[in-house]
Amino acid sequence: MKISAIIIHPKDTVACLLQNQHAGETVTLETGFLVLLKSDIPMGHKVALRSISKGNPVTKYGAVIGHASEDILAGEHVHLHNLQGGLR
Amino acid sequence: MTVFRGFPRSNGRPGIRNHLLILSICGLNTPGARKAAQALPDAVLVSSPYGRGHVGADKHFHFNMLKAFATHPNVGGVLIFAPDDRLCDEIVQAVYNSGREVAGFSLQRWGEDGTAMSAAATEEGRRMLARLREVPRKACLKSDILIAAECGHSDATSGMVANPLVGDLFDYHIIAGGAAVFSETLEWLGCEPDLYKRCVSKEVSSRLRALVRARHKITKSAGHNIYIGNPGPQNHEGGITTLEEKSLGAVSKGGSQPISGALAEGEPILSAGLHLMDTPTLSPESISSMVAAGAQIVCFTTGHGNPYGSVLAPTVKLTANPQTAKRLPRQIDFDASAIFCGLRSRQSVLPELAELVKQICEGKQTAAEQNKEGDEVISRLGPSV
Repeated sequence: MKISAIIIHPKDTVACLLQNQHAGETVTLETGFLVLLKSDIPMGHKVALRSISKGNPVTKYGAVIGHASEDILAGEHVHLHNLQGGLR
Repeated sequence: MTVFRGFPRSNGRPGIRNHLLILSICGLNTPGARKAAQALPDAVLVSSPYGRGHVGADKHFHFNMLKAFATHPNVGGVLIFAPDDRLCDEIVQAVYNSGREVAGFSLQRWGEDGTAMSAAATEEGRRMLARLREVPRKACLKSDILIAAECGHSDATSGMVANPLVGDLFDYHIIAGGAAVFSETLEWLGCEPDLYKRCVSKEVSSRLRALVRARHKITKSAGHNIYIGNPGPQNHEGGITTLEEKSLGAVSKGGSQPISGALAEGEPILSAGLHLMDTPTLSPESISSMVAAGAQIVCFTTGHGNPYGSVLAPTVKLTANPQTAKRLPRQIDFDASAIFCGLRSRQSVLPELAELVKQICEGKQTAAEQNKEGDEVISRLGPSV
């Protein structure tokens, strides 16, 4: 089975795409889990594995990489528009 | 397997090489040392462009780094090129005490005739090389290996695949009783609190905190704000959103084990477990500091490619970028791109990386060794006077 996104740590709430994918396509994970993409996402970028409400932490590498600055739905692109780091 | 075929040393960790080291401890000696190195292609050259006018901490650091190279586990014998008898004898004594072959050459003793001195050193080097070649490998403990990790010229594949894969190797090695180290203090930005929490004791976390604080003070007093524009547009384009995320990608090459040591630059690592070393971010300085600490092998991840390696510690170049692996087959030792292409899992690739590391520990040459693209670089901690 060819997977199209990587979950770096089992605790993560996002996966990283291994190829450019478009809205409406499914992302295949190593676990066999599929995610329907709600937005176009470029290679290397993050997709939400589940819905994350505004203000809640986003987890990658098993650690908090920032907080949702907007409500994020499963399958959405997670990037500058909806994720805010804690450092300035 | 808990053993590998290496070179036991009476004073510490075993070697994975039995190098003849040509060590030029002062810029005045380097041209002569370079000539000897050209005549002895099987020897390795480490040279300092400095060596006079160092003061304070910088002076001690410079000399301790040279001594650490001269007594490195992978070194079997040393030719010392020194400006004067006092410095020469001090290093000769340190190498002699470590149970290695050594011959010291000082310009003072040779009446400043660098040409004659270089020729004599080359002759002595030939004899030493012949003896070092005869030394057989013996069974050594794999747990006595200190692995260092470095990343350079990274891209999205580094944080996603190559660094976590080296982290898996660290976990595997440390669980089996081994030691590992990673460095580059300013690449921990934003995930330091997580690192402090991972320390095995309050002493270790306080030391780590102090080292981080001191490094940040240097940056700040030079007028730099490392938070502005970090992550940069290239990082954003590659998919990195926050600084914590960028740093976690770098730190992931250290795996997930507890942190049992926090060290200043170049400080020796005597115990097992995971260690963090405070170093500058330039790979040559960072790697040499970990090599001086005793690392016998380096895992160096790259996204776009990077020819550099340690000359003393074989440097295993890994990439998960399929284009880089294809473009630079003579530079990349381990191609992890099958993971990035979605064809294999990190877990399934780890045994192959562990096997390659073992083979390299037992003498298989790395690309950087074959290409002779290794060096050691000693950081400066202050200006010369």
